[in-house]
Amino acid sequence: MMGYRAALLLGAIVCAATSAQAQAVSALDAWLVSRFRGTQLLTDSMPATASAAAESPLPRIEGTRAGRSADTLYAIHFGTRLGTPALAVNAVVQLTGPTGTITPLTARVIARRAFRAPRRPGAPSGADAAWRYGWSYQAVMPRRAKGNSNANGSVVNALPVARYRGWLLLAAPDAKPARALLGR
Amino acid sequence: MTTTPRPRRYWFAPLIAAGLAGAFALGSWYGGHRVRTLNEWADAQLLSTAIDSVRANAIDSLGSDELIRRAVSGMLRELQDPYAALLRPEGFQRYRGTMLGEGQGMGLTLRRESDAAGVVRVAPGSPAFTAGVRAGDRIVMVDAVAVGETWTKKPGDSTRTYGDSSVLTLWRAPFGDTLRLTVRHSAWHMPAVTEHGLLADSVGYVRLSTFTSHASDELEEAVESLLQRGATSLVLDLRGNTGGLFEEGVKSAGLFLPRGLVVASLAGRGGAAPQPHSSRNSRWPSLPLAVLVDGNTASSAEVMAAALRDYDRALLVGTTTYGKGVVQRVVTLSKDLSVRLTTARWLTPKGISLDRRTGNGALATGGLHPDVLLDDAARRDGFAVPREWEPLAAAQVMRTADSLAMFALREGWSTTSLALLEARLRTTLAQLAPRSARDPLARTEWVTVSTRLALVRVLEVERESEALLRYAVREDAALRAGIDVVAPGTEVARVLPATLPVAISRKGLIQSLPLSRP
Repeated sequence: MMGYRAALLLGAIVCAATSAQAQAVSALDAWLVSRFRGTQLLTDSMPATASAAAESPLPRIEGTRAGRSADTLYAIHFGTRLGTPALAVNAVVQLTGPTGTITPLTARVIARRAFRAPRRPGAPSGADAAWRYGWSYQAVMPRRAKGNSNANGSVVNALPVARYRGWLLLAAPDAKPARALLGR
Repeated sequence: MTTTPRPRRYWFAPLIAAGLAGAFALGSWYGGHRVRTLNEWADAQLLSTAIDSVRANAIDSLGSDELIRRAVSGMLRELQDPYAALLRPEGFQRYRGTMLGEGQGMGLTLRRESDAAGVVRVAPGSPAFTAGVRAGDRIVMVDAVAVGETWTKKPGDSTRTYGDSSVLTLWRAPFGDTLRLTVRHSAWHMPAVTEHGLLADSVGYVRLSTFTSHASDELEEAVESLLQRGATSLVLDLRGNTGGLFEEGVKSAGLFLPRGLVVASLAGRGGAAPQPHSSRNSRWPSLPLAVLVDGNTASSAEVMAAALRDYDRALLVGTTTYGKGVVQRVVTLSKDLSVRLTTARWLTPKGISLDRRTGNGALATGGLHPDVLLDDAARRDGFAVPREWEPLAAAQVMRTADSLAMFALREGWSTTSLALLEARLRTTLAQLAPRSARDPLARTEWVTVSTRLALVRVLEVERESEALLRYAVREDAALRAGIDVVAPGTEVARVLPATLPVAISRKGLIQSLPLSRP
C-alpha cells in the first residue's frame, strides 16, 4: 500500500508540473482547485472500468452547475488515505436523496480525479497526516422533459439543480435503471 | 598636608540653558494651544450662533436640545463612518446590553406553523427555560391572544411583549397536553455558545454566536466538556457571528494558540505604531481545528478566524467573511447622550487590514477568503419545505409528517439508530404520499421532505439535541466540509439507500383484504 501511495504522490508531482501545459484544464480540475486552496491533483491509476465502492463512502454532490440541455454535478468523498474510487468513468449513477431515497434520476460520470487537500494551512508536502485524500467525480444529467408534475403541481424540470447539493450518487446496477424501480 | 585650589562652579550653566529652553518650549506650546483654543472657541460660538439663529428664525424650528442632538447626528453622518452613531439612553442601554450579552425577550427561537408557533430552541437560563417551556412545544396563545392572529413573518423571538410577565398556552407533544405557563420578563444572560455537541465519536462541534463578555470563558468550558467526552478535534462554527467585544475575540483565539503570540494589533489615528494584543491563556495549541465562516462573520469573529489562519492553526471553510476591520468606542457626552465612533483599525498577525473599503456583493474587497470555498455555506432549517412549494402543499406535508411523528412517539419507535428510524418513517410515508405526487420523482421528493420533517419533529420532542445536530450535517454543506477537514471519511449520519416501496392503491388494498372479497 505504501508503494502504491508513493507512486501516486510521484504521479501527482509529475501531473501538477505537466498537466497545465500539456493539456487543457478540465472543468473538474478547475472546480477542485477553486474549491480547495492548496489542493494537489493526483494521477488516476485505478482501472477505469471498475467500480469498487466497498471501502469508500458514497460520493456526495457538493457542487452544481446549470446548463442549457444538461446540468453538471460535482461529487466528492474523502478518506485519510487514498482508497478505491466509488464510481467508474462512464458509469450511470442514480441520484439518491439526503434521506436515502433512491430517485429515478440518473446521471453519467464523465470524469473523475484523485486529489489531496490540506487539513491545515501551509501543510508540508511530506507530512501525510496534514493531508486528506479524496476522489472527485463530474457527472452530467440531462434536463427532464416538461409535463411531469411534482408534489406541488409544477413541472419537474423547474427543479433548480442546486437542490441536488448534499445528495448522494449511487452506482446503478445496470446502464439503464428501470423507472419501475420506484414501483410506480 | 597640602591643599589644592577649589575649581570654579560652571556646572549650573547647562541647567540654566535647559531651563530657558524649557521655558521657551512651554511658551510656544502655550501660545499655540491658546490660539487653537481660541479658534475652537470661535468655532463653537459659530455653532451656537447657528443653532440660536435656526431656533429664532426658522419657520418650523425644534427645541434647543433636539437641535443640538440633530447637529451632532449630522456631524457624525458627515464623517462617513458607517458605525458612528449618536446614542440616546435607550440606544446606549441596548448597545451595552448587546455587548454584555443581556438577553431580551423570553429566549425562544420560534418557527411559524399553522395557527401556532413551534418552539425550535429555548436558550438556557432564559425566562422561558426557567418557566419550563421545551423545544418541540407549540405556543397556541400568548396572554389569551391566539398566536395565529399576531404572528408576523419576521423570524426569531416574536413573543416580546410588555409587562412583567406573559402567560403562554402550550400544546405539548406527543399526547397533546395543554399547559399554561407564566413566563416572567426579567434580565438574563444570553449565552455566547448557542450549540455544542459531538458530531461523531471524536469530532466536537461548538457554535459561537457572539463575542459578548465571558464569551471566551463559555467557549473554553464548552470545548473542555467535549474533550472530556472523547473529542479529539473540533469544528468551530462562526457563521452568523457578527462580533462583539474585541478583547473577547483575542482571548478566544488565544485558547488555540501558543501563549504570547500576537493575535491582532490596533492601529489608532495619527500613524502611531500598532498596539499588539497577545494570547495569554493558551489551552489547546495543537488541537485539530476547522473554522466555519460566512458573509455574516464579522469583527471579533474575523479577529479570531484571521489569527487561527495566519498561524496555520485552522482551515477556514465557507464563504468570504464580511470584512469589518475597525473597532468602535463609546464616548459619553452627557447623562443622556453618548457617541459611538470608529477609533482604530485592527490588523491581523500578518499586519493586514480586512476592512472592506469598496464595492458590494461579489465586488466587495476585504474580508477573509476561506480555504475551502463553498457555493452556499448557509445553515439550513431542518423543518423547512422547498421554497417552490405552494403554501397548501407545504402545510399538507407538514401536517402528515407531524401526524406520523406523533404516532411514532406514542408507539415508542426507537430513536437509538437514526438510520433505522429514518428508514421506517420513509417506508410509512411512501404510502401516505398525496395523489398530486403521482410522478415517481415527485413522489420521491415528497417522501424525502416529509421523512426529514418527521424525523426532526421526533428528535425535537424527544429533546435529542445532539442527534438533531448530527442529522443537520445532511443539509449543511459547511458542516460536512468542516468534518471532512478534521476527520476525513467520517460518516456522521449514515444513510440507508433504498427505493421506495410500491404504492398500494386503494383499489388494490381493498382487493387484497379478505373481508372485501365476496
